[in-house]
Amino acid sequence: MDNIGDLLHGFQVALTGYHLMLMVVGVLFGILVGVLPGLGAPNGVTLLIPLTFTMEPVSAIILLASMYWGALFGGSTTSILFNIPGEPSSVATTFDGHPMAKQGRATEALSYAFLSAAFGALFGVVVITLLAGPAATFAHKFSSPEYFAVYFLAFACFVGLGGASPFKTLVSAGMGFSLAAVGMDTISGSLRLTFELPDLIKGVSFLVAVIGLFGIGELIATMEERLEFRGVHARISPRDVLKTIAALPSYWVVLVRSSLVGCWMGITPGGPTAASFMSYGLARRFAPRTGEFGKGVPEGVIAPEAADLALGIPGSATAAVMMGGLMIWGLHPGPMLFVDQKSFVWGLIASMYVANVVAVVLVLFTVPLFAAILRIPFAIIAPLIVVVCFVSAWTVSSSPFDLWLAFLFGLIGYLFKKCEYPIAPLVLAMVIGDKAEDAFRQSMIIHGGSLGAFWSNWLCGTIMTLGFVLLLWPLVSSALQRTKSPPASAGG
Amino acid sequence: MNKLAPLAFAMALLPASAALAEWKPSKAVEFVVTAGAGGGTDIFARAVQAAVQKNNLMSQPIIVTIKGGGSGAEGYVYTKSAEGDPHKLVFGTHNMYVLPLAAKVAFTHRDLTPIAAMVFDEFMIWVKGDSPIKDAKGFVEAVKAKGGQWKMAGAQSKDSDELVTKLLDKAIGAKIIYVPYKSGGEADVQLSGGHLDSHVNNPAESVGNWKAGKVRPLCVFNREPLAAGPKVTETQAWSDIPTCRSQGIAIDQFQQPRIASLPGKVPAEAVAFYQDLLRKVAETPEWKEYVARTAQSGRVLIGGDLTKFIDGDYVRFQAVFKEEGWLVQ
Amino acid sequence: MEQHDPSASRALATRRTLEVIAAALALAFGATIILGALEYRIGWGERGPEPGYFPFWMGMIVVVGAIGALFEALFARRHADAPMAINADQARRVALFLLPMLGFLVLALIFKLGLYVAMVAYMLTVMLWQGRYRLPAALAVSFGTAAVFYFMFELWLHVPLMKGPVEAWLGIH
Repeated sequence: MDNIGDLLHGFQVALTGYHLMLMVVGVLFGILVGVLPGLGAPNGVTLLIPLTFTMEPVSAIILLASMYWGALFGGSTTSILFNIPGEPSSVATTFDGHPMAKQGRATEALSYAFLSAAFGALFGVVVITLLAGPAATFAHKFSSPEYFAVYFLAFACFVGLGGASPFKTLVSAGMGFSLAAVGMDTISGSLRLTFELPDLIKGVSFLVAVIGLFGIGELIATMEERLEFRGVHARISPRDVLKTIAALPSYWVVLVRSSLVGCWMGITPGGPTAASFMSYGLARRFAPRTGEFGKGVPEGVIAPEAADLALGIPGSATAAVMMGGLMIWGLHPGPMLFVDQKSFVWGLIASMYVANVVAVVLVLFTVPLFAAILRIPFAIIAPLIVVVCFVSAWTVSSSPFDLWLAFLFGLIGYLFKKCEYPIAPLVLAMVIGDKAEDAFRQSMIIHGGSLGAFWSNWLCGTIMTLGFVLLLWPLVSSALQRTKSPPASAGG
Repeated sequence: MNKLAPLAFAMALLPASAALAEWKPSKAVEFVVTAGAGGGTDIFARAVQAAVQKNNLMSQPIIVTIKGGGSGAEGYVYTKSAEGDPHKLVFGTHNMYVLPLAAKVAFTHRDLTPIAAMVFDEFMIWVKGDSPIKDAKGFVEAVKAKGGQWKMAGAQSKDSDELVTKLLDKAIGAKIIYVPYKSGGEADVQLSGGHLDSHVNNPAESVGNWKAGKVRPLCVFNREPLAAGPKVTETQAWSDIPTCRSQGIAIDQFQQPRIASLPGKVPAEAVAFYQDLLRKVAETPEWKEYVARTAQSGRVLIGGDLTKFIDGDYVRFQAVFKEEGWLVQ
Repeated sequence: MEQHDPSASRALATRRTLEVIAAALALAFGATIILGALEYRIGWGERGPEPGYFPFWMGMIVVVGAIGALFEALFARRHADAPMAINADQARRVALFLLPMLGFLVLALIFKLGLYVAMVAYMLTVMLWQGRYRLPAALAVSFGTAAVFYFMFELWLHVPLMKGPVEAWLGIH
């Protein structure tokens, strides 16, 4: 285990005053871009890269990595307070986080979110420290059929939940997959479902859809019921934060399972967004109080948050930009970094430990600040959120069309809510749709069009079978219950 | 200047304005990247940005925006719609004239004003590090021995990687199965994991795994080997990779230009400014370092040379696309 | 605004009507996807699914789901005891919220005035008309918002937002 020795050396690199300062700056900047829905971690990295041209590579990566942590923490804030996910990976946090905030438990929800995210992140960093080598080897076993199996498993964990009509779930998931298919098809190189509209060439942005469905849709629904944010009378006290810290250990099962899901989806190519959905789905399926999920239970916040940060390898888009950064700083990304640039790699890993602690402390300090936003009169805050939504939709790709799209998705979100169509299958389908399709068709090209590809080895076969079991589980368990006991009254 | 702003705004809509003899950007210049973040085009744009900023070649700041949707069509359509605006420079490859051949993308390369091709990226045949194949001859034999089951990975569909594969098919008289991925990086991960037989990545896309011994280049599609440079692995430098032609694969040269263009109908003074700027960039040590590090060929084409090159390359792609039945119209 | 008991307000649409509308829209969406998919081959070739295959079947899934939801809405008992989905009061509030929003988009995108002008106009409208704020307060908040966005996006983050002739006239690029 000379990893530990390398890590100690890494701490010497990370714990200098200059690097600590960079972490604080990075985290604060990250919180800002994370809070704004259109600007995510990838934008943050893009904006910071010019500043790093003159830095040492290890200082540069510390700044960027800290920014990434900050962005993920910040993303949860708007999810909980306004139902607007600041980052794609915090969509699942809205399901229970926002209901909690509406019940006046904003501080509690935010604290749970940050603390479990930090737990997941630290868990992930420990895994990297101990298992960087084996994890990379394991990741190499993944080819297109396994990729597809991973997406399938993530989807299977999530659908079939809740009391929604199965027809409505079909509509929602089908819409999500269809929207994901709009634009360039990687496998054939043709533009699909664009109907000759130049604006659709780039596809339908997941972020724009989320801004509309969640942010604007939620506002319309709030307006209809003439509710104000019920968080208005929430007392913001540091004591709430402390109480939450004390309560956290009792959720250790959810925490550990979610962190494992996060690591699994980080090693396999599932990514943080799919990880948070999968983790939420599992938490809900195996929770004693399944029926209360979606109405504001702490587990519903802890599960997605602990999963979306675990492993600490930034999601693909951000990682890609950072890789580009590595090239500019004169380093070649790849397995040889661990040998060629030891102090760089271990300095980065050590800085993940430190930056996490820095991020949690900073972000907990901002909780009362953010929660205070809820005290602003509704007649000001509502139009302000609308402005933030539209500006965010613009920043996604500077396209006027996206603003109309966000508005349209707002109406759809409202209609979905009124008629009890589930939104989550649509969102998850949009996230994994095109990747799953690519992986499926690559598998078919490699294996000559035979579906046996997905059971051609133990790894892939196991994941697929597990997916089918989870997919059919609700049917099986409800059938079992029906035979065992007389129909129980719903609710609780 | 501020008082003249409305006037300047109106004049920007005119094709060429005589009033601005010595043209200079009056606001931040946007670098539009027509590929994903971290890809070859992104690094190209950022290398230009770094060279400009470090050497103070321009007073206005540079903003890099990623518009890689639709295989880059997003960025080109965006630039096309900014007709007459000389504050947008779009960075791309030959996808600017290849994309419209195979897909209905609402732009052609004639909607843009090419400024300079600054560097040419190479293509190589790569196999897994521990593959028994030693050279291009062995590669051809192995492909033929697999009898139509050889799997070649590449980035995107109906783009350069698939085109090289088609040319290779013809040159060696075999049928290779082409498996498209989103990027060369993904293809490289799959090859190094042993899930495919080969790929045709650019040097920079695979250098990390080459150093680690996970993948290995066999030959380069060029007339001559690459310029001499430092050793990349313990035993080899880029210049030690032989040309495919010398190994009996009859493909003369296949390279990917990296081109920067302005929107259409921009003032001639602005064109001259950027031509001069990019010429200066190509002289900076930062740029030379970038070209060497990514093992590309630093050859700058400007003005008439560039037009001639684009027209020639366009015809060549069109011919293959026609034969394969890929043309969209 | 007077206090109304929501149940006293006239029903505008029953739950059933709303369900039928939603299902019909979903049906139209699914049909559009199928039409778009038919531009390409939708079969299963020798190397797996062709480009139109996935969009086609996803469109079919939406259509099947929509027809199912339509039947549920028309014939299932489920919504019989929830006749009212939206009453006149609620509809009015939603419309009052959506109209200025639509105005924002029309001003920014159709009249091409850009986001800054539109956001000032929008905030002013909502605060004066619906929030019943006094003019000075409304002016301060709306221009303040625009200023904050300008400093944050243009100067600090270097992310240009959409601008129109007003900014050009002021000399702000």
